[in-house]
Amino acid sequence: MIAFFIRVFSFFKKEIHDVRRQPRLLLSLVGGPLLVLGAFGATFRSANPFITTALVWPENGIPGFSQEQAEDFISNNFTLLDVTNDEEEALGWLEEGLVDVVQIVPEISFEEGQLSSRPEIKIISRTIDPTAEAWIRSLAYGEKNYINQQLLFQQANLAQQKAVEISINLEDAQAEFSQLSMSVDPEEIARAGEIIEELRPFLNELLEFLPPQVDSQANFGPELADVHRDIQLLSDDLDELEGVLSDDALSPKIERLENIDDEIAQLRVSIDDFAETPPENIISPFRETYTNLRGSAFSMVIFYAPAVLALLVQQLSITLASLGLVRERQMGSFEMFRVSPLKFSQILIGKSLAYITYVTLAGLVLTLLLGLIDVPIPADFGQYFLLLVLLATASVGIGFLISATARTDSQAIQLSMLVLLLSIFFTSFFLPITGFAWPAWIIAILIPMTHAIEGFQEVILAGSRIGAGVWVGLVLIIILSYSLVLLIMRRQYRKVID
Amino acid sequence: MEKMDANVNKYAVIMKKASHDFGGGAGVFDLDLALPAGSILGVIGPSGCGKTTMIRMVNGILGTTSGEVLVLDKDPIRFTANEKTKIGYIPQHFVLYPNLNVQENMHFIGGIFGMNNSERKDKIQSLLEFVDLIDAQKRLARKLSGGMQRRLMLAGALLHTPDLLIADEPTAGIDPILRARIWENFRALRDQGKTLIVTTQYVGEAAYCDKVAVMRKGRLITVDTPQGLQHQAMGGEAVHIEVDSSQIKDAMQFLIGLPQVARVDPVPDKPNSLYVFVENASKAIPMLLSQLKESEGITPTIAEPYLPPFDEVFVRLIQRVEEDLAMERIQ
Repeated sequence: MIAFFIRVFSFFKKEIHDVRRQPRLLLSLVGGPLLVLGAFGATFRSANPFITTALVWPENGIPGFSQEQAEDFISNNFTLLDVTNDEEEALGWLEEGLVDVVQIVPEISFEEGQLSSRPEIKIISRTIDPTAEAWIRSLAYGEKNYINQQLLFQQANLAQQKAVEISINLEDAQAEFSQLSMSVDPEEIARAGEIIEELRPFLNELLEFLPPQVDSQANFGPELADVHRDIQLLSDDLDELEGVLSDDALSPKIERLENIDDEIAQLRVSIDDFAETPPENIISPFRETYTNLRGSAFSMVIFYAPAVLALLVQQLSITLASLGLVRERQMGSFEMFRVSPLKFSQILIGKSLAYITYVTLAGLVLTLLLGLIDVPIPADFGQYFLLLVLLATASVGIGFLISATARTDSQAIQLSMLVLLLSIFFTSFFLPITGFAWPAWIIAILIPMTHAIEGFQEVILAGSRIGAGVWVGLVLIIILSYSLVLLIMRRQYRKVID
Repeated sequence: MEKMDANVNKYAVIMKKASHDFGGGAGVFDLDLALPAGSILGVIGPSGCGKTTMIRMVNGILGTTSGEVLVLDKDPIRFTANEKTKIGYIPQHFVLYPNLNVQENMHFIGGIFGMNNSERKDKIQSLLEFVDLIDAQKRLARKLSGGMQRRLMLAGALLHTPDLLIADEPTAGIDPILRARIWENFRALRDQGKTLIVTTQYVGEAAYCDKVAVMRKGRLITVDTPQGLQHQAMGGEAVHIEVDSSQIKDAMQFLIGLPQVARVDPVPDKPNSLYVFVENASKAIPMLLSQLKESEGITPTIAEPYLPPFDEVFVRLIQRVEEDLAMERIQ
């Protein structure tokens, strides 16, 4: 048993000396990516794509929405290079590549406070970048909503003014209906028909000015709905009164006159509410509040730091381990080991311990260095340390698996690069894995970095406990990779001369 | 060649019709050999003749496809970890670690043989002295010369005090002076009672061995002492005789006619010299001198035993085998 540990320790010590004597390897593997992260942190400004645009603005402008408003809004997300009234000229700039996007706002005309047609804002680009295209479409959608909102605001303002005017006519009509409701003279009551005839145009005019109730782009407040509802109720009552005016019976007429008196009173209250409500509340009654229970999100650089740490630890482990067995095999050391009492498992344990020690130390140094760019130091250091060791172990396992299958140094490096590529695409490093179909999830589960990113974000950034899924994922990779390595390498070890 | 099965314990290595057939004619076939403990067996033969395969069968890396190999009385394929410590092995290429210094490499080897630190320490010092690397013990292996690397491998193979040392071409690519020093080390080990199997492409090194196995195309041509090999190759022992150039024809004709003389060859580039092949050179010289004087009145200026170089021995042996094979094909 003691001999077992002496053999394992002998490999451990050999690897420690071997790596120690290659400082440039460690520097390039740890220092290089760290410098890249530093450069990223020092120069990063925005994740938004840089998109230039030209605006084609109608010669007659848009009532209630100025060109300056449009320019200000567009400049929030695009780099506005020029404004013109000439659509052809703007499209020429797009063809020549002088701008990325052309935005064409059409002429808009109003008839009696309503748009005469459904105008179309055209957004035209020639981009080949899918991210930029998604960004442009999203901005175009926002721009359309903004202009619609401005127009609805203007319409609501006009409707409020009209409603106040019509409220005066309603007051007169209400007084007359009230007086008739107290009369018992059928001829006098018959005059109600004339009042109805005078009142209906006002109600129709009011309806025309009110913003339409059904508009998928707008969120109208309850005040507008109340006015629409009360106009409809009053109209129904007026119809009913007209229906009974020719009857002999007096009481139904009186009853409806009293109802109409009440309905007009209710409509006037609604109109007053409508007129007193700020127009922005009518067209967009909801406002949002956002609260981040942690205070605020981290900067992009800090948010990506745990993922970069996971990537560095994984790739350092994989690089060391992937060359570890290939070099022994290429040197012919296995032949010497086979004649000695050494078992392959002892080689594997000794090498693993050495690499894990190096990588864990490198991980701790990196954590301290990341502190220089304000990345928080993990509060629960025990969990953090365990995660670092498990990530290193799982990655060393993957590295050994590469080493077991590669026949030369260059093959091992190529396979390591392949794992790096897989790690960048399928571990939520940049693109969330939920955006991929399920086969990609299997790849993600088999890459140590997937679990480590989640774990590091939890323990470093969120300050919470690492979820069980992270531990289970890493332990499974360790079991799977080491089992496969033992299976493959034991056979190779027995046939060292092949 | 020693008789096999006479006393198993006195042999460190026994091979009985041992073959390892890789297929397609490659491999080693029908190796018969018994190596006494405490001796040096040199295995010589051209590159690709199967020396390394034979070595790998002895050290347990390769099994036999037919026949039997016994090393220290056991099939080496079935060696336990403890039994493996009785073998020391120097592979053909340098397999130690260039980024470790001499001492670290030695400690590493000691570790894989399960030796603890205190066991290793003194042993390493004495072995580094033995191979003359004591002053280079802190030097990185990558900064050692080829010869030093070989000696480091030798020291590493001896660290766990093996009974049998197997060295695969330990002198390949190094200068003659250093080769001679390595052979000095081997003979010193032999004198300490170790058994050594050493393969080499340098036929001349056969002279350092107690026994020499000559291989060709996967087969053992012969196993004999160096002197036995010379005898086999030349058809006896040679005597170098130099006479006056005017007497050379007469001397040659007379010597050919003697019953004790097997053959007489002129010496290339020396018109006044002859090689006379007899059964025993030291016994034959007085007789040759007196007969030449008495019968022909010739007094040789030189008459001495001639030891042909092993290159020549090896070439003659190979030629003889090929002639035998050609005869077999004709018949």
